[in-house]
Amino acid sequence: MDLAQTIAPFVRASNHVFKQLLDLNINKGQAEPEGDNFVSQGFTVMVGLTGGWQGWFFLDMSQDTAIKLAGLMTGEAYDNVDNEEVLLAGAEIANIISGNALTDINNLNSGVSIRLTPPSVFAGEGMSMFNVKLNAYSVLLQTDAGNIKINVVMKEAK
Amino acid sequence: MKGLRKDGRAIRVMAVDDSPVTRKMIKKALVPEGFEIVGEAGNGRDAVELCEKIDPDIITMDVTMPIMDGLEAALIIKQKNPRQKIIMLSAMSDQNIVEEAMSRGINHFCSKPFTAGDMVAKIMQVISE
Amino acid sequence: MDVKYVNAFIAGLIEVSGMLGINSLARTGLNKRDHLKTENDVNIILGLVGDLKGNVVLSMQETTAMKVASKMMGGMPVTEFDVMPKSALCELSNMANGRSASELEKIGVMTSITPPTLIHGRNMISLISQVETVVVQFSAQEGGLELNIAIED
Repeated sequence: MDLAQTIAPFVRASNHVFKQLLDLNINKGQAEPEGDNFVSQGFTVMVGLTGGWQGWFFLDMSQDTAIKLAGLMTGEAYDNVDNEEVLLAGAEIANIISGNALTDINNLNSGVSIRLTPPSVFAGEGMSMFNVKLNAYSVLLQTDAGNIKINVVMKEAK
Repeated sequence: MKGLRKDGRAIRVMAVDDSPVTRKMIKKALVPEGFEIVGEAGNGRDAVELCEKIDPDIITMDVTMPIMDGLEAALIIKQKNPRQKIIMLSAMSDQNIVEEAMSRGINHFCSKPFTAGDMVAKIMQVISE
Repeated sequence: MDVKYVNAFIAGLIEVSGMLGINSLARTGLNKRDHLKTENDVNIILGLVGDLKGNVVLSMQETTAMKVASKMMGGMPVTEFDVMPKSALCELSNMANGRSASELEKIGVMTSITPPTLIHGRNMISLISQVETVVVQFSAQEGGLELNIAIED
């Protein structure tokens, strides 16, 4: 299992979903090293993965970007992540990206049959996520709504 | 304005999705085109009930929902009214459900993510059949 | 959500905590979560897919987390919330939920569980699985713990 098999499908799916769902282009993507923890920009959606491979997908952005994306989705103006709709919008975006990425992964790797948990959303200050199998590199996607960072934790099930 | 019938009346849409944000996204895609959102439901069970009351021209139905999923709701609605037009909205992870739905005669799908244009085009295609 | 599912998660946490030296853990309350804000800066999340679908989150304050980790590591002092205590808490949560999954299996409920991830931060708000969440409160010598159970059955 390597980056081309794990994180790349999520990058491709993010490109597609941001364009289709939010009419948002990804101007540039680059690898960014992470340490022991995934360092959040303030707003992180997590989708769990189970099956032959198991782990997590992280979709991360600033709270300001999360507010902008929710606005692009519903056409309404939001001013705070306290608004449940901002959290729900982030959840829905991560859910669709994961669904698209997993279709790729499941098709390319016979027998892994990964399935998704419902997304959970965390927003706060100084947030970081710890998982022993975290990818050493995240991918930072630059958009007009701000930087979106993704990472994937993936390991073979015992 | 695309969302009108030949007699000039707005096409009446019922939006079913457990996420209120997705329902708003559907509204945002359809209302500017002249469609009317006549009802919303957040799960399959409520959708079955509401459909009988408001008799929409077409239903957009999410597949994965709590309490009763979209496929089960669509089958019940179709049983009561075989002519009811329904478009299932599915994320790609719902592939096995899509196959099951097709085999049971539910055959209009709009896959997530969709653009406003995709959604409008799909509804117009299904309405004209 | 059926109470027998909730009970399986409670039993799993109490049993495994006891095995790891957190002997005084006792359930003190149970209610539905009605707000997004949390006072807890340490949250360990696991996902479930199968007959039950959703997430379970074990939450506590950082001071409690360090005391629990210290107890698990045989009393070794923990002064900084770094990789060691984080790994220990993930392991606690992993074992507790593994135990809960076997309890559920006994009553015919099959689930598979993701590995745990620990979320650390301040002034946090969260939306877990986008469904109604049951919160079970526990108290122990080390401090208070909360188990957030957000599953669709």
